Amino acid sequence: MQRRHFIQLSLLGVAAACSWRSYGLGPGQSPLRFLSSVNDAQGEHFIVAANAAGEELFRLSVAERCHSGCLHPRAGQAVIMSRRPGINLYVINMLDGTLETLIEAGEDFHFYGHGVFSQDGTRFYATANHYPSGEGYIRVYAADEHYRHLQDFPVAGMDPHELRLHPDGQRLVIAMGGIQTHPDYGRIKLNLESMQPALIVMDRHNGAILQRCEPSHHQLSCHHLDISRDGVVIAGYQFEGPQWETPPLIARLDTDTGAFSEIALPGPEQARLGNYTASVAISRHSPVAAITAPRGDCVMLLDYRSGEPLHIVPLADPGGVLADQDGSFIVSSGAGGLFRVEAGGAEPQLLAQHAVHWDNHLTRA
Amino acid sequence: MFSFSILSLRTLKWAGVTALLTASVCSAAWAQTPRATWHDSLATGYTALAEQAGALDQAASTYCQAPSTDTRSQLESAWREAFDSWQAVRFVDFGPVEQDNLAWQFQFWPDAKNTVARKANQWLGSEQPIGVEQLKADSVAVKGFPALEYLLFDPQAAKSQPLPQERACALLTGITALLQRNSAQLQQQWQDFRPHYLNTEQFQRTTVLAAMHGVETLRNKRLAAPMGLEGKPRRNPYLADAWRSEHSLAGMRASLVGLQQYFLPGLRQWMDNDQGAELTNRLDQQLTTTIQRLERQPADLQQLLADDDGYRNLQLIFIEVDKLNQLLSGNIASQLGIIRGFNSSDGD
Repeated sequence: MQRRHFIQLSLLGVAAACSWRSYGLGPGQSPLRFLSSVNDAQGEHFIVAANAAGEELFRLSVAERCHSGCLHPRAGQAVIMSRRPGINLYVINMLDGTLETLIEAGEDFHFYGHGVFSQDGTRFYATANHYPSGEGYIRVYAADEHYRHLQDFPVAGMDPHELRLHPDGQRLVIAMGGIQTHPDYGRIKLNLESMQPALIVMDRHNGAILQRCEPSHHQLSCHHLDISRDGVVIAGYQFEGPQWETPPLIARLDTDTGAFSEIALPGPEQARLGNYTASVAISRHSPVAAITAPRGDCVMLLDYRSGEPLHIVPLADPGGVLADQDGSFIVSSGAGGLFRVEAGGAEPQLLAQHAVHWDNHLTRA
Repeated sequence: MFSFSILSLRTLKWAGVTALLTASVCSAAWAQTPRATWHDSLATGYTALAEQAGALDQAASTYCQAPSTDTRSQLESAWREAFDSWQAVRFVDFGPVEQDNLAWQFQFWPDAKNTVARKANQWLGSEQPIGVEQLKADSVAVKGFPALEYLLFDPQAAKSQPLPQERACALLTGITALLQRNSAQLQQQWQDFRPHYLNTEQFQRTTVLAAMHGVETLRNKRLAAPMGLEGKPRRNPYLADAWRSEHSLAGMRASLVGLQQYFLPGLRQWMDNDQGAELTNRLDQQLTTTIQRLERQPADLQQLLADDDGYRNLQLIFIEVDKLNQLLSGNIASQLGIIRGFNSSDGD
């Protein structure tokens, strides 16, 4: 019953989840739904679909911990990717809540857990590591030809992590962590002294790097981002340097003007973020962006247009965040709760408590 | 659920003045805080590590200059002592030890692909000069205790380039010099870290979480996994740490002694009411019981895994470690209101 309900609503929501179109403003817009990777209490891994009321719609058992992904704009399909250094791309049939197929990263590559579709849904772009060289690539797939691998665009650096499609449909914006890893060493960071993180704007057709912005400290690993309807990027950093330093953790890039800046919190407030951000979401209905900071047990809200910090909202172990249509945000917690966080910074409202650990990101579905 | 008030950042300018005024008052109270005690305790632990690493470096040089049964046996003892002093502070997973992957540099483990042996063999088999700087630029797998252990205790290493041959000695002394340097750096940085550690409330939880994580790793990865109780249901001594030196159980003992010496005093200070005192006394007793059981073993893990009598001994150890884990991650954590974050402890 739930699944049928979900299917029907999915059919209404014909929008590309990772582009601005997904927030289509017209009548008939479907309510928010999302996918997330979860672990249950026994440590088993699943991909769960849920709605804005916090109700679970379906779950798929998977063999490994997964990370994030993207809804296909038309095909009733979504992709969720395994977590670094995973090699799988899970194609999920959203109409019946089943796993359709599994695509592997290919020899010498692993994924970083994020991917995005083109607006017409024919292309899928995934961040990947060519681990013998440590060089980062955007792997391009023909989503309409059973995810045939087409080509690779080098990002001129290491560790491209989350990427988004620009609202113009032509550019990709890529958060590049700059951290070298190799499957032989698990998740150990191999180059903390020489990291070169960046925020990159790329032409999705030919891979040309149109802009490259560097954080103010070489150990500010740029990992996650969102982009507004008017082309403003808010990116979140994870600081790999000493804990006694508290550098700014949020970057702002106006892709219209190319202006790049960083947003710091006043005085001791900066330390409350724990030098670590997890997910970024920008509202389509207000000038507010939300950034989750699990190590600081809080969600930060800021005005993405002016760059002004607005509120720090305490919330235990937040990971994923998505903007809802009413200007509020849905936030998932590793402790099992799904919360609504209002843009005004009021105390979060618990929508539902599940016996799972919600993992890192919510993928709009 | 939310103990913090919700702050509007616009009010913070005013709050800042008050914070400055109260800062001097707070500093007088530092001597009594759990974090001050933890900082002092761990400073002792890091100092011991730096001293033992220095002694190990010295023993390596002495052996390579004048190889003999005596100097060899002194070197092996020095490795065990330095390794144990690392085990004692190994639970600390925050602060300076996070810098430059220092924890991984001290001990690259687990090593499912035998990277330690592979990297050490590369150095032994090549002709490039071996020195601290060259090693520093190489993989974490060749920088610490496991690589030394391979050289000292693994017959495979002895087959290709036995100590005290020149390259083996160059690699040995290069690694001990790097270990000595890293441990001195850690000792110094821990001192520099003091004001930040004392001033940052979050570290109270972080320190307890580190101890919880340390015990959990000991239970699950260092003991249950080689016993076949976690992961594949098959006994496998090579999943343990320090199997080459047959020092796996002794290393666990050293970790528990470290918790008792460097973690427990600060915890007692935090849990200073009746109920808290009862719990920390129980923790102390459980640590002692477990340590004593580990000390009573007739052989190390690998040999105990080989027959059913030995396995029963390990099961008894496991029961004690499990009790320890339940006490710390269950009773004590819930008394303190500490919940381990899923995203905060392992994000991406």
